[in-house]
Amino acid sequence: MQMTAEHPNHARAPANRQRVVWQGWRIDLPIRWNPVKLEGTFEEGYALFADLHRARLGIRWSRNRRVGKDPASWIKRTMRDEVGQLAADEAQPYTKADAAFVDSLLYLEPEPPGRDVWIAYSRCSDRLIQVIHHARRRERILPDQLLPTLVDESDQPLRWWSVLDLSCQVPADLALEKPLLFAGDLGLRFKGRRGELTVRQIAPATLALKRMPLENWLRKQQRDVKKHYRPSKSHEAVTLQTPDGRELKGVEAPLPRRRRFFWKFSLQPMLRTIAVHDPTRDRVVIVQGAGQGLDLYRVIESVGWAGTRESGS
Amino acid sequence: MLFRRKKPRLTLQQQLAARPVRLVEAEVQEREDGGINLVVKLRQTKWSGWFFRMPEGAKKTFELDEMGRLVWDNCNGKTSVQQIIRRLSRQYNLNLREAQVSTIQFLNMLTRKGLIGMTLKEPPGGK
Repeated sequence: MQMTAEHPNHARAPANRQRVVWQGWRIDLPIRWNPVKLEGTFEEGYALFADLHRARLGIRWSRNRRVGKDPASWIKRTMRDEVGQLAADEAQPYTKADAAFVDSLLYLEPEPPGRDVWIAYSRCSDRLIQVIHHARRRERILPDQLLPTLVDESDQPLRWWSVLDLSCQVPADLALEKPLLFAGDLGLRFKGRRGELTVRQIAPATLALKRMPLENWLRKQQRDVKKHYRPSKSHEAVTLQTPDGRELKGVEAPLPRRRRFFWKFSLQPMLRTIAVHDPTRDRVVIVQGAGQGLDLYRVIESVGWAGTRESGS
Repeated sequence: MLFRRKKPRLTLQQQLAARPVRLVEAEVQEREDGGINLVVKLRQTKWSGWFFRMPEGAKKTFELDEMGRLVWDNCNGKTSVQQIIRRLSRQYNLNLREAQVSTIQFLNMLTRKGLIGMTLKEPPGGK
């Protein structure tokens, strides 16, 4: 789990767009479209995006379970299941997609309201990716604005994540165990064979820190795992500098495993918790975890790489 | 239940277009942290009066933080829920979805406590 340099493609999204990165795929969406449903794992899952009024976009992905299955016939069958035989016959190949996607088919609903559907096979992750746009009127948002920004970057050594206001970068061998996405308190919990990690962001920091100081946020985070780990009574001050020049000040503390769980090798012997205040973004960021080669400082510096989005009012 | 009055079911569009309005005369006390305390006089309800008598001048205090205050200030019968969400999102640099979830939850809580009600615009052409 080596943390390497930043991926060149990971610049921030253009104005009035937000970059959503989830389970290895990345797409730029209008700023008002937010996830209302995120389910599944890297192998198979579904994401639904909606604005304040209605559902706008669905993304479904699934791993090729049968070895040697022809992607083209798989795509045709999925398209038929999605839109029906007659509509599936009208689907056309789409050429503007990322090179990782092959055999893609696009169906545009001729008489909206309806669904525009794009299905492709991703070579780099061996997954079928399906994008469904709920079109209200005849518009070419899906082929002209959304699909050109869709990328599958699962083959990178570091996996990027960006959802709602939380963005971070973690080693690819840590899989998402549980998203903990609550209003004002966004978190992602990762677990792998050689480590575990929790990334949490609380907003707005000015209000959160009025409620309790940073040290108490750190202790509160540690108390969540107190069954297996002994919360520490002391902490050290820490100052970090992010690549984009933000200065993060905070506290860190170790979290040793309780001695009675010495036999439980699935638990890391020692976790570390770091809580920092990011005054530029007005967020409190808490990272907790341990693992072979996992650098918590790099993780915490990467939080917020996608920027804090304007509300797009 | 047989005699329970059916609550009107609202669509998301109607919920967002609804305008919250205050139902109580609350005394507002400013706090140092930017929040407010709402002091509301308690009223004896019909059924509870059968069992106990409320003391004269009984009051209840609701503590609202800065964000709660912003929402309360906008419960004026003129600002729609959608406008409150956008204001909250802009002022605290929050994601629209986060602002929507927290605002609707907070307004539901205020409604349950009887502090606010919702006014709905008549659909064009009457009922």
